[in-house]
Amino acid sequence: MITDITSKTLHEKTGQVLDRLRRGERFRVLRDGEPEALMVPVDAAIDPEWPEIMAEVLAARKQAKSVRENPILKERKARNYAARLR
Amino acid sequence: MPLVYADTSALFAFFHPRDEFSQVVTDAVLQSVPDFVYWSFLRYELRHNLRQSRTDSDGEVAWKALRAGERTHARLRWQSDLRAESVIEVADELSAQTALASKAGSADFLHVAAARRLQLLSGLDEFWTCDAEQGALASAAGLKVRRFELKTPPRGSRR
Repeated sequence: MITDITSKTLHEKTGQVLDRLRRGERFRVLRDGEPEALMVPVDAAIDPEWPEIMAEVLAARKQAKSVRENPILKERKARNYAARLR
Repeated sequence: MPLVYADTSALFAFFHPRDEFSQVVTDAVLQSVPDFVYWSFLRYELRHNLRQSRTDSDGEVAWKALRAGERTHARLRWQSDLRAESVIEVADELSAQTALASKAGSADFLHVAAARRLQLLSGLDEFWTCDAEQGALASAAGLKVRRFELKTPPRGSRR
């Protein structure tokens, strides 16, 4: 999880933010309400993990009422069917 | 983190929330937390199929997630050693050995050839697919295969 923090708060509470970073927390710094920078612990991987990348996909799947056939397998089936017709 | 070659059927299922294999592939990712092999042909085939699915909000969500994954350079790990021409050479050799005994198509041979080449060059933990024939080919090529299966047809499935 990434915590949003304003540049003003970062300026005023730098020590507290660094302590929280040391405990593994990540921050997104906002200036005038817009994301400006990311702060991560020095030993943390900068690249986000899959759950972070896939958050919207996981949420969308919970809402999904039906599923669709995998298009790659569908293409294979069509190709095999066509091959049998030849 | 384990390095996994997930073919396009598995990666598409991972990114698209309404794919029939979405649940099983995501469960496997959350369990073993792999980084995935990424190279030009796999990227093209995955992007092509996801582009064609951008007809609704789920397709858009899938596309956005793929682009976020591509930006990491770690979760989708670009393999500069996998150059198309050399992989095609390996696929051709593999085809010469096993084409008669396999129902797998030419693109499937490319995936297995790429995974095998990578295994020899720098190591590979597993090969993931939703496709039985692709899985059989990968297994015959000496790769450790995880094939995803649908245990029961999901409720509300629409074919």
